[in-house]
Amino acid sequence: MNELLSFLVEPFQYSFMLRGLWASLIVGVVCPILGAYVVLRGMAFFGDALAHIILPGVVIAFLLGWPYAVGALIFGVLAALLIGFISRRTDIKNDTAIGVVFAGAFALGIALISLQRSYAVDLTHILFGDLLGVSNSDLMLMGILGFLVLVTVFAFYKEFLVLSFDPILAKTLRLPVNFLQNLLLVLLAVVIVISLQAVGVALVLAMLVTPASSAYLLTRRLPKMMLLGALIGALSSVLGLYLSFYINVASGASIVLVTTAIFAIIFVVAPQRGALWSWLSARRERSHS
Amino acid sequence: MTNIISHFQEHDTGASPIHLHNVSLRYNGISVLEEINADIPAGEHIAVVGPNGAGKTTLMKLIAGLIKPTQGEINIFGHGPGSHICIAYVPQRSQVDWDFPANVAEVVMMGRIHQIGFFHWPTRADWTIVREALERVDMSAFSDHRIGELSGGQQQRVFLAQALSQEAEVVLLDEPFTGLDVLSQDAILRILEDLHQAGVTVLIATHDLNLAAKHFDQVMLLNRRLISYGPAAKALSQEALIQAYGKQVHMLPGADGALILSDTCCEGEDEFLKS
Repeated sequence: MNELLSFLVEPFQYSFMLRGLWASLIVGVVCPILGAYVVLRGMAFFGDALAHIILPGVVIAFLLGWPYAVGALIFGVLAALLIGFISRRTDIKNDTAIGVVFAGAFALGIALISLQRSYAVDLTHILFGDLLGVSNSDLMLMGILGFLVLVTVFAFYKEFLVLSFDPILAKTLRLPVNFLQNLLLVLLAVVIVISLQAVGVALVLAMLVTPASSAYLLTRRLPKMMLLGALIGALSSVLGLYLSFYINVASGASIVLVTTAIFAIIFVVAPQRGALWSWLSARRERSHS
Repeated sequence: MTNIISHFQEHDTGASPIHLHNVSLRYNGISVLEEINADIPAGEHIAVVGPNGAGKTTLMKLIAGLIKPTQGEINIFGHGPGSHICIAYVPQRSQVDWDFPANVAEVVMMGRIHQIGFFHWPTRADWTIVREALERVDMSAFSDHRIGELSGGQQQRVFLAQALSQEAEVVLLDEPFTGLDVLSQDAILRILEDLHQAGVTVLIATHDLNLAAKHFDQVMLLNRRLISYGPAAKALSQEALIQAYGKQVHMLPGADGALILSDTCCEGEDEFLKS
């Protein structure tokens, strides 16, 4: 018993591990709740692109001595609005517009880093996260931004629901459709900024999409999907940190691996929507006929 | 049920629910609708018929305020459609994500979100309205089913319940009968009769001339222009039909004026735009 306890407690005797735990819990809870809309609206590619687009923002913020979140937020919001603008105003398809902005911005970020030629901006930390390097002020910022995202998602719950389910209904009910759409994009940018230090730009997508889609396989109600997603996300964060501590793998990667494993299990065993279930019911039907 | 009708835009007393004045729409240089004039009195139930590409759906979208006419004016109770929340528009099916995690009651509640207002949650009164709406379309038993689990006819009824919960006074239905069996069609016709009693103005786009003539007092025959509008017997005269359908109408030789109309369903829309 004592051994188990010390096994569980030991990692968090280090204050950087404790900060890492809090940071990963914030990411684990906030990402899947917004991620529910990413999954339902088929915005996974957009989310991934947005995560990469903020790279130059982070670098510029660093060069100017600003908090990285400020630069990331400005670039994220601008890019989100720019993509929306390009695909609404021209014949260019949405995913093409995303691709153009995505690749261009990411290249700009890499170019800026390569000009820098100093060890100060560490590309791997931005790409893959630096959970154990989270400072108290980082944590505070993540907490505040995360709280704001949750409050906004809650406040506009029924409007986002209608917008995602039936955009034509949203229009005939005279909802401010463009405003709501842009708001959702801005929220996405904020969530990516929050996740940046935990899992890095390359893996943010996993936290947005994987826990939410695991939850999607388990429930047929949006509120439950958000709640379950947050639970799965939080669980992945904690388990991932232990994994990272005891077998010494990068923390962002281990969190993502855990959440992917959870998805894989749910994908197989989920009632009704799972692979095993559909295989069995297909077999049952065949044997009846 | 009519106790809390709230209007986004005050209705002018005496103004008709739908007034179309010289309404034209051009899209990419092609004329989709030309100079439509009509004044539809309150409580009227109208079937809008015409060949594919006649502009039936476009007319619905114009009245719903989803698109704007290139020319002319549309007034709903005396004001432009964009300022109203009393219009319910049920497009042809397959436009929403049927796998969406929302149940029937939630979908019906969506009709009320403007009445509920920003930063408010549905009250008990709202849920009562939703329950009553589901009762009126005979779908109470399905209230916590996922929308994707329902049959086509049941889905149509849920969207009618949504229009009821919205307390819509103008209801626009685009091809609500397509692909439904007779029983489901009858169920929807009964609900429409119910709306008729309540004084709701209803416009239905359909390609089924028989159904239009049999169940609707008023028929609008459309082929880019408004060819006729009136009681079915008059609006669907031989002359009007030939004008609307052109070569698709065949006269039976020797018969006393009987017409045969080749099936108008499901042909390419573009053909008509060209011809």
